Amino acid sequence: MTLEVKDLNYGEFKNFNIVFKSYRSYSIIGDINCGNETLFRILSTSIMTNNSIFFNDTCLNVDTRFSYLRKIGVIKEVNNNSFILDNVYDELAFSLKKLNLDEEEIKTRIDFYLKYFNLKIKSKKISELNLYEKQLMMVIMALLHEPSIIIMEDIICNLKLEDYIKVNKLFSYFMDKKKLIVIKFFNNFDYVNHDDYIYVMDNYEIIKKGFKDDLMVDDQFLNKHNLRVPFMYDLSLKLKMYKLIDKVYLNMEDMVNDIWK
Amino acid sequence: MEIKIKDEKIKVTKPSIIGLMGNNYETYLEELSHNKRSVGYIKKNEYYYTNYVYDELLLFMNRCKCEVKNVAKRMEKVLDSLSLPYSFLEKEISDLSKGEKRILSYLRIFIFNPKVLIIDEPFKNLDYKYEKIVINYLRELKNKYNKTIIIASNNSNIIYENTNKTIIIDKDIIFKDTIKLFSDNEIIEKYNLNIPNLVMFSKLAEKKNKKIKYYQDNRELMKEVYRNV
Repeated sequence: MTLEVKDLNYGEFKNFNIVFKSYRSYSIIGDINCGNETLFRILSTSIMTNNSIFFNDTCLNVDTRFSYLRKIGVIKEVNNNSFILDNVYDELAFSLKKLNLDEEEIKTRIDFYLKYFNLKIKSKKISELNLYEKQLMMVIMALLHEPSIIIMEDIICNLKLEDYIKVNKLFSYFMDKKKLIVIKFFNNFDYVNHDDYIYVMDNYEIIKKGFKDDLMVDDQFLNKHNLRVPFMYDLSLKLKMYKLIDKVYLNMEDMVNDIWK
Repeated sequence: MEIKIKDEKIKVTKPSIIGLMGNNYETYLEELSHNKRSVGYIKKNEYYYTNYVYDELLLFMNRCKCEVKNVAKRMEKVLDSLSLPYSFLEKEISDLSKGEKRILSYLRIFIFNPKVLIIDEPFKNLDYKYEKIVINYLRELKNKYNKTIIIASNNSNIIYENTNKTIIIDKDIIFKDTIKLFSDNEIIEKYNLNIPNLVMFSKLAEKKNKKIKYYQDNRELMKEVYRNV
């Protein structure tokens, strides 16, 4: 599976190009006006553009939109309009029933995710859920129909850290097993995984790309574009400047052991 | 000033930035914000009622019934507080990014100048530039204008690095000096808190028999490490 944006011309986007491939997780990062939010809407079809999005060389348009929507799972921040039914199970089962899956298969899939996230909400009303549970429901709803591409906006504020880690573990599992593509959108680097391929956006353009470890060491570039250097990279770079260590550490214990050998 | 949570009264003796963490803390934020005249509350998800930034701020000014003699001057002042150009007022709200909408929420609160500000996830949708601008302005409000600011988050790094005092809501309520709270192993364990990065570093150094003080700023921590090597 390949998802490609070719010569996109929409609003501030001018001849914009970007490619996403299977088995890989991507983070698209930039300041609050970089344009990644518009790109999120375009890729999740909230905004329809003409002849610019290609999935496996099929162009996304009005005729192919439905098959594209079956291939993607969109994880948005939960809000008051996120759910249409009253009960958790009905809401989770809704999209699967539209795919004509039999009841047993629907139940198996729903049970798998509820168990994975340790959620005891199957027989609850949505109005009884807290914010974390609602956000996890959004994650589950995006995964239930087994999409090939996950498109996710920054939801970390609505999750506990341990749940967010679980979400990413699940993505990694599906990337290995089912060639999933994961595309995440952020305004900073705090929750980017080390194995993510990163596109840095500024003013509706890609200004830098590469793996996290390669990008993080350029603190001048990050500061210039209003991006915070994550804690361990920042610490490493400063200690390197003081000549107390000679490499970047991602493990704090290893770093401390090296400083005070 | 007194903060009442779960029938427990917490006395805040001087202007502070107070962190608030715990399971379902949102429920208690609603309670804390009931006095609309003296409390400004920025929720995690905010709603906007008009089409333009200027109209939104004007509406909020009127809603809060705050006495403003010179509206233009007041708007200019709040824009200045977040380093925004005057042209921001002319923007259509539907054209704003999520980060800009978050900034608008701050402007709405700053324009009516409440005694207490409650902010759920203060840096949500903001980039690093605005994180710095916002926290510096909140510190200014505390130091110069004696405001009490409550910032709520379950991210222990955000709470540790930006607050003087912290409230943890669990089966009971705990209210302590932020550094003392996060450096106390018993509390960390009992309330199942993530140890902030800066605290973790000092604790690991302690294992190597190095006494590194608990700092809330990594530049200060680095200087201390340099002095101890």
